[in-house]
Amino acid sequence: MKIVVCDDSKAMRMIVMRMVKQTDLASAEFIQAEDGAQGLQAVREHEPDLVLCDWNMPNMSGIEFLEALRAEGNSTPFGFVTSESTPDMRSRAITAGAMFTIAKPFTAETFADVLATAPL
Amino acid sequence: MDVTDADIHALVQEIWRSYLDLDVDPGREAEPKGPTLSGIIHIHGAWEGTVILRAPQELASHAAAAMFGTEELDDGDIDDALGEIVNMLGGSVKALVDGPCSLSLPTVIGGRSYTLAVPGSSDLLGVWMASAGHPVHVRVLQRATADVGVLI
Repeated sequence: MKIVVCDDSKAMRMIVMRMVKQTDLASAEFIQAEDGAQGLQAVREHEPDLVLCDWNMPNMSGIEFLEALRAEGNSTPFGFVTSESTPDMRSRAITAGAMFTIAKPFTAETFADVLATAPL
Repeated sequence: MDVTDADIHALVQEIWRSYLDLDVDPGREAEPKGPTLSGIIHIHGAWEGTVILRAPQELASHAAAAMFGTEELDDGDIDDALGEIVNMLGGSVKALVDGPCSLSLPTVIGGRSYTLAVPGSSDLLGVWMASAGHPVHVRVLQRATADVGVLI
């Protein structure tokens, strides 16, 4: 399994990868991206099985990344890991094609529960 | 916006416990003696304001080490970690607002003595806390119509 971890914070990318390693996806290979533009390029290049993505990022936001991906006909499973946790944002994410949203700050248990129930 | 000192403490505590493996308790005003870092994030929309979290460099370094999972960090990594902490805190404060808002990207500044001005804003809250023997100060500024310089 290949996972693109897209967040402009390196610290948060480290946390997300550490959290994934505590789940059933522990053997995943990670590709890191610092913004939506890099994330989009990483998906085109690596054809990952999952994208875990922040919302607020420079250059291209997470929602712009997701919309660009779906506009290309790419249906790679996509989950937001974001401090944008309002119902409106969650609704916008799901409407755009996100599989799930995880609100920051999250616990290891929350993270594992969401990934365990996602249809990957 | 309705936000209390207890709300801010609870939000900071959630971040601290989730990622830093530290507690943070309500504290008294205690000006840090050494250099500090301040993470700043702005909220725009139905409510306009700014959230600032200031902590001693030593505590910020400890936080970064916990978040990165290593002690081998450069100054950019520590700034990155504090920026992400204030990003999460800003997102949590934003969630308390009725109505649509957007969050800016975080900014981090630091040093032994510095001034931060947010024109047109005034203090809504200032909350002192303590963690691992260090003071932590969170300020919530609300944008008003008058240009008011804010000092930290």
